[in-house]
Amino acid sequence: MAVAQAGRGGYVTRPQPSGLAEVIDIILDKGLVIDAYVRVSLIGIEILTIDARIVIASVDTYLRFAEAVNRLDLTEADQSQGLPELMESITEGGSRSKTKGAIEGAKEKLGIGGDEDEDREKSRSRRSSSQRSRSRKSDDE
Amino acid sequence: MTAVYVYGIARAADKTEVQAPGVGADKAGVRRVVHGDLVALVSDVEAGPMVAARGLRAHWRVLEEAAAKATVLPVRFGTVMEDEKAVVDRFLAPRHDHLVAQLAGLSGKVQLSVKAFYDEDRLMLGVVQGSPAVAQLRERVRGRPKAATYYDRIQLGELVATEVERSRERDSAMLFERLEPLAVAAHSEPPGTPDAAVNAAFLVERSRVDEFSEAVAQLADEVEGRMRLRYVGPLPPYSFTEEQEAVGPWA
Amino acid sequence: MGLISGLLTLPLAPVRGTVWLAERIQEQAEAELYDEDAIRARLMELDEAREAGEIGEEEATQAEDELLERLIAARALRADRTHGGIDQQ
Repeated sequence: MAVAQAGRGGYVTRPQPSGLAEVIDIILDKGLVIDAYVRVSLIGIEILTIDARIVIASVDTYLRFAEAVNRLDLTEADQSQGLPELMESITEGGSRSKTKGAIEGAKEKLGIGGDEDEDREKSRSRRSSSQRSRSRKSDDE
Repeated sequence: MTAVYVYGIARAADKTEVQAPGVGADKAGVRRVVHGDLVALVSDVEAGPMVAARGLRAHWRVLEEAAAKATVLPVRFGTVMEDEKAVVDRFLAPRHDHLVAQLAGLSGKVQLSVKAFYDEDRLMLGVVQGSPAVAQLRERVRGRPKAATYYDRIQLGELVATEVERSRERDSAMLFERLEPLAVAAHSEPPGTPDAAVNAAFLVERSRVDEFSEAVAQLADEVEGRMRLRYVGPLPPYSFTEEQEAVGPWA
Repeated sequence: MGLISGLLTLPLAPVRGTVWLAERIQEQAEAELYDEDAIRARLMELDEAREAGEIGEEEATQAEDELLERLIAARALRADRTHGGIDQQ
């Protein structure tokens, strides 16, 4: 992760090298197309083509959204709190809200040091939030 | 029996030696096929199926390395031609002018990707606050057995999905408004995950990357807590490469 | 829409038969397997875990291999559906 110190007393961030996950779509979807034969084999995966699966997938997504909005704990809001108070209670309760949303590449720690734990905390809480949103229909069925 | 895997096209004069191994199972190295002022980056592969995941990884590493030093038009993953002669006769020669024009247009510029992801709680809160219909339906559904509220939950999910989509549009517009002026070109890509807010590709002059980065950093500060930004690059100009010849051979 | 009504009766009519049920569950499982958004999200989680040093390089690569293969399969599936005239988001 490359950060250079800028003269303004702040930190200049740099764009980060990408993980494969982030570029997979453009690698597969974009780029020059040549009149050529393409040979890609999928080992150990069988492709099935039942159309009904589409329907399940769409419904699936909506159920997930419903789950997300239900899970949100608005007990205080449900007693018709005003928005400012509501926002306060959200930020108090959620460590994730406190987590800096800064660019992942921004290494404010450069020159300060000791923020490894903060970074680990960030990626852990980010992951736990995304894990929660992905918890599946085990409770739906 | 071997064939030739094609990674990308560059100007012959540019330095595009690549150390990374090629996609073939025996990892044959990447070499250059030159035709006039153009060069195709290729490697030998054996005839037969390729393991997709490993090929993808190798393909990307080659392009990443080549694009770090020069402007490279990326070729679609999985493109294989019979031999070097085919690369010249069926690709570089017939499309020479178009390729040269594209390379000229992209020269000195890099692709930078800016993605924004929502904090789910903040997003859902915004949705409930912003839509009485959502709040109402949510009330109907909460605390009741799931089997009994199946239809309601689908409808609730649909409503929420619509609100999320609106949110994405607003945030995309905002991000583009801030960053597009600093770029040569901008392109919106589909969001890749449910929590994705924006997925934007920018073509930026190398000399303006720092300025662009500064703007991204500032934006990240402003959306902190509500969204997190992922800023990646430099990438080969995938989003700004025309996939095929615009005109036919009769033109 | 026959399948949706089938799903809706799922909690209320378990007497439909275990074979039918097994098929629905199988389809659901496969739908999840080939859910591109979910695969992409897992790929990103993998990247984060790898960056944070939570999993080893070899383990990460292996998991990534599987996910990539599934993603390619999912896209092929989608292409199949699209060409069959089904409108999928």
